[in-house]
Amino acid sequence: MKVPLSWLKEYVDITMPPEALAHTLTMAGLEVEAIEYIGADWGEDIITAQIAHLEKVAGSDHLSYARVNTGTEELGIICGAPNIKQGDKVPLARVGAKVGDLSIGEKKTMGYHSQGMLCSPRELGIGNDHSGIYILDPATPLGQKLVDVLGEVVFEFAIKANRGDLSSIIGIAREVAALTKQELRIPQPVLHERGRPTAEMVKVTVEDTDLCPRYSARIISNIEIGPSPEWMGRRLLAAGMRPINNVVDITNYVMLEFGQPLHGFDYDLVRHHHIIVRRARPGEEIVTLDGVKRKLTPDMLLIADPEGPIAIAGVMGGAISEVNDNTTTVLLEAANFQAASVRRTSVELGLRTDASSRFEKRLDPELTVAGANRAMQLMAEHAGGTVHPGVVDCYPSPPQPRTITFSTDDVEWLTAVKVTQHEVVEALSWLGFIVVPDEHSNSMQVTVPTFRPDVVESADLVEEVLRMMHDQPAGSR
Amino acid sequence: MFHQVEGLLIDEYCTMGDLKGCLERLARALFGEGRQVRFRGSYFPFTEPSAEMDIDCPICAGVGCRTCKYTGWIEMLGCGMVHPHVLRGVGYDPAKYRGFAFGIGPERVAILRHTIEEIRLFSANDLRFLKQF
Ligand SMILES: [Zn+2]
Repeated sequence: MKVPLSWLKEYVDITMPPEALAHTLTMAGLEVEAIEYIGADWGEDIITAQIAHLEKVAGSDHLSYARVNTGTEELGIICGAPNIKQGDKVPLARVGAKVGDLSIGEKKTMGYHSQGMLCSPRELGIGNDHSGIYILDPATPLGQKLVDVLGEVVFEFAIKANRGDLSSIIGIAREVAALTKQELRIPQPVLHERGRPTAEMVKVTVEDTDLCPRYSARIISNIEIGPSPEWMGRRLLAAGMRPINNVVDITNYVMLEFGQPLHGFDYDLVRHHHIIVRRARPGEEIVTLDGVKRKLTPDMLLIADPEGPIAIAGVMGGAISEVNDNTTTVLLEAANFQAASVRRTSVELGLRTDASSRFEKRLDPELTVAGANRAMQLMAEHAGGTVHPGVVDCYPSPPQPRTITFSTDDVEWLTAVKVTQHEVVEALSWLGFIVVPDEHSNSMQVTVPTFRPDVVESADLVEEVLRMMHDQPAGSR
Repeated sequence: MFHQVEGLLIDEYCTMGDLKGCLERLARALFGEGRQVRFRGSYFPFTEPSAEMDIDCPICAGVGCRTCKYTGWIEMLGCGMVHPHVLRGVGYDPAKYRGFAFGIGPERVAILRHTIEEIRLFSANDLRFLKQF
């Protein structure tokens, strides 16, 4: 799991240098495998600039000559990219800069003097795109070192198999908040709902609730498919995902943010506007989003409409109802599928996706509506559109929260570490457990949050308390 | 191929403190008296709490080198307190008995002790290599 620190900072203040934070998290069992410094190699001479004037180079079919303003001077640059126009803000590598292996010097081309180079995302190492120059946000100040504008520190985490909740930036932020005693800020989207209620627009039938404990659906209409905002694309790239379009990017963004995989269907392509969650029938087939026709077996869970399969639950959507350039209404799925079922299906089909690898680690069913609401908010902001009132939510048996009787003696029994009741209450509360201490003894009742299905009994809580004590207190004997 | 040397102790008294003391002594016996060790939180299905033990890199003495990926520390082994469901599974009451367990890859120990850079040498059946031990 790759986490750009600027993104993490939306949910928690980071009070220490990245290396110290990495160490703190690693010692607490949240292993930082690598730290990537995007922009560390850009140096002083790749800066922000604005195209003041642009003209075609006579005698060339693709070159243009730009006068660019750095805030303090104007430089002439020969450029072959087709996407720039007057007024654009761009990354400029001045004479003396190094772009990858390329040293930038002054040169003469077709009678023009070129005093630098404008850079593409690929040249800067922040994306695959080499079709044009990286266009900066219009609000970017001129003459800034690019590293101060686009630089990023990215942590790569190795997530343990029992901690599905940490396959999300908010999950990691919760650990950071607990370990550094900072407040956690979770986005609380405010939606302006209008139009026909969702429940009148779509019907959802979950036939196999054993494999699908919860299925939540929302609808947004009158959207316009287009590119997602620059900051979102950059964050997705830094996290290792390729931007596609606003709707797809928002589903991916919220998946990374909350850990809840989402799938957008083109509402008009879901026949009879009826979603059926059921096991596949013998001989059924589906063409998935990657264009591959796949044979299904009856132990695989499907999303279907009355006429046939439209997605493989928790693994990949089908091509038939895919969001496309003409989509105007999105039916958004936020569901919870059984971990073992998704794992089996994904292995049988040889198809592992970002969604399936998350479902395999057991997700919190309480996440679905939070994730769907967040995606609706972002789609309304960045794809226009009308959020329809309400959620269609099939959630027949919400899990009862688990309560564990726990005591400071349990910690001492396994670790020989003496802790006070207050310390234990404090440590567990920071991690999101609800703790009611007993006033007459050193015991307490601990309610486990739904996002921690891995915590079952007192030994699990001992580990949590231990993780929160930074200085390896379990003294050697 | 996968080799592991395992240690398991169950009694009425042992704690994670004993586990740490035992493994510290093991690390120093294998890699020298001055060895620093540290325990990181981890996850294994059969222990709770779980940890991984690192030693300060014997190759660069903790300064940072290729073998330790410039961290100064090398992962040595996984360990933890025996999970209560394991104890219950063999008929021990986890409120009365407790235990610790650890597992070490012998190749890893040999690599660090003898500064062997190529793990495939262990299974290559090359007498020139094997006769050195
Ligand atoms: Zn080293």
